[in-house]
Amino acid sequence: MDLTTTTGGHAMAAHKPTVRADDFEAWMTARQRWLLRTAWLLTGDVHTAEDLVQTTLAKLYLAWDRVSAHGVDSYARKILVNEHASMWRRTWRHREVVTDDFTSHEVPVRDEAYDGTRTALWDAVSALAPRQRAVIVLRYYEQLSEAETAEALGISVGTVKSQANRAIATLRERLGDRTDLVGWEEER
Amino acid sequence: MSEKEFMGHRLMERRLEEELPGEAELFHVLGGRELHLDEVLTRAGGIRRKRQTTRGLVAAAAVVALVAPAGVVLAHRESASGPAPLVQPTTSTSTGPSPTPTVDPSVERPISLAALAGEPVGPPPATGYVDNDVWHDPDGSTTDQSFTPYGMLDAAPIGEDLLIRTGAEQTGDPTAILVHRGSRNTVTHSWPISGGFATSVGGNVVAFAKPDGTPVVVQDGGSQWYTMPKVPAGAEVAAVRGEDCKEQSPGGGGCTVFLNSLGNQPKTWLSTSHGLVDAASAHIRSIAGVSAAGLVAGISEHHADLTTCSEVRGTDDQLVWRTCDNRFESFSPDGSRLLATNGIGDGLGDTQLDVFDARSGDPVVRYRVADGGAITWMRWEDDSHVLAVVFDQGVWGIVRVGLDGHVEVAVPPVKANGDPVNSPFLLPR
Repeated sequence: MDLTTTTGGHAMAAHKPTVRADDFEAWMTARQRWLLRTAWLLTGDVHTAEDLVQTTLAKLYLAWDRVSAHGVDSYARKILVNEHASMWRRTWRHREVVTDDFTSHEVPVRDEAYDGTRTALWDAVSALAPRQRAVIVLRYYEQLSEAETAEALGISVGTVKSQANRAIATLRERLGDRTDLVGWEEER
Repeated sequence: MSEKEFMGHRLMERRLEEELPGEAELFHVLGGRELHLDEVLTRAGGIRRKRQTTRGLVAAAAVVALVAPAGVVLAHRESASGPAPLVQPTTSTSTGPSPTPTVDPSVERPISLAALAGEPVGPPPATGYVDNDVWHDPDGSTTDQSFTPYGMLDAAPIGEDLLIRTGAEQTGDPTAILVHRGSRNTVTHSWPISGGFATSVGGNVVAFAKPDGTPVVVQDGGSQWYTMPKVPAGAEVAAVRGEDCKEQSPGGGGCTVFLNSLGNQPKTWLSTSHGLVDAASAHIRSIAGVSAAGLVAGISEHHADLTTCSEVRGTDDQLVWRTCDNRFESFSPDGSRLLATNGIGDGLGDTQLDVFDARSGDPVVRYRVADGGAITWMRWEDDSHVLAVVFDQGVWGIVRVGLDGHVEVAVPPVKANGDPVNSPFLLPR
């Protein structure tokens, strides 16, 4: 059938060109290592981190037109942490755990290629509740301010403070203070 | 906090700052790899398709008889209980502004939640709606599923009941549950489900598909349900035509369920209560809707760059009109109009809301969301109004747009709470 003669029809338009992929790929090339490292610290599992970043980048791509004029990094970080929160929230809801400090944690998977030298600190961070761990990663790895951390996680600054304090108290309790204090005093 | 505690706290902060970067590098040591663009685009396409299948593929159709072969098989009654309760149509007479047919369709009209701030809020959606896993009826009554593990992923009212798509309590597998509206924990039946729901134009039949390809129709206000002839596994319901799937009904009975098989080789199917299973169209690869007059609308071409072409086809699969500028959503309840959005399946959501004459393809009215905004869901409220879930400047809301060019807020905006992708609002099928 001749489309242009179809009653009331519309001639087929040429496909819309898109430069989205080029722009996006340039950003992705430059920044995905950062996202993968953060995702790894949040999840403690290589494959989960890759999956998390893949979803994050896909959602960023879908929203690219709306974020490219603004801070892409902060937008990507927000998607990442929200996606991660959704992951553990689903797990939490599924397991019907009712306390805030639940003990269902993502545990790092030890790869056979890894030589086994991992710090006690990392093991302790890995055992934190997911939200506390996210606060720790954003505050002390990403070096975000309390306000920036609150913005990324969609929580209040007060919650960031309380979660960080509780997380650090937990880490100190698990790792012990004595050695730390000696180190601190020596550094001073 | 004592000085000792303070020093211990500060030291731990310093240790974290010093050691976490080294731990982050372990991602690569442990075999972590960087992603290719193709992997990301594939995932984006999956997200996009999921969004498309989780929103208005509702058909608007009346009973159109299909020629049944001799020795037809009746729709199998899977289960039934109780008397037929009241039937509640999905269409209604809008309480919104009355339409005038004099709108200039060449003018693109804005949809902006920001611009509507301070304007009078219209009545809530006559179709009902979902807000954060809570179903809201037009009269203000609610059905709460927020306490369940997977909440409310999709909803379709049927009589005084509500069909909900959720996850199975133990496994998380996609599940359709039937509950009494206005109640908690009153699941009367559940089924495994593939895809979402479709509702007949009169609201008397809701259809969905089991993962094995068996269509299920629920009718008589939720008191009866039937299985239909099976199509290939994994197909998802796109539309249902007919208001009564009982073949032996005094009024004639009979219904047709239209389904899409997605994946690399998209294909459309129809399954009738007469026992017939056939390809729905040789040209349309994904059905969006069917009309009372027998029109079928959907995507005919899906390109790698996420652009699409769509067609309206009539009796005997004859082309009526086509476009590569728009992707169709659904026919109006009376079948005279066709709702459409962007042709390119790209972006956070769609930015266009266009209405066409269903048979001629002539534009009736065009809307565009404000810069940075998106429409994530749209459906007909009645023959003159469309409801749309809109994201705009960090808030989500539901607006009512008229064919007369009038826009009003139907559900006041709420903050996106740090999630720029997932809306708290859903509209029913």
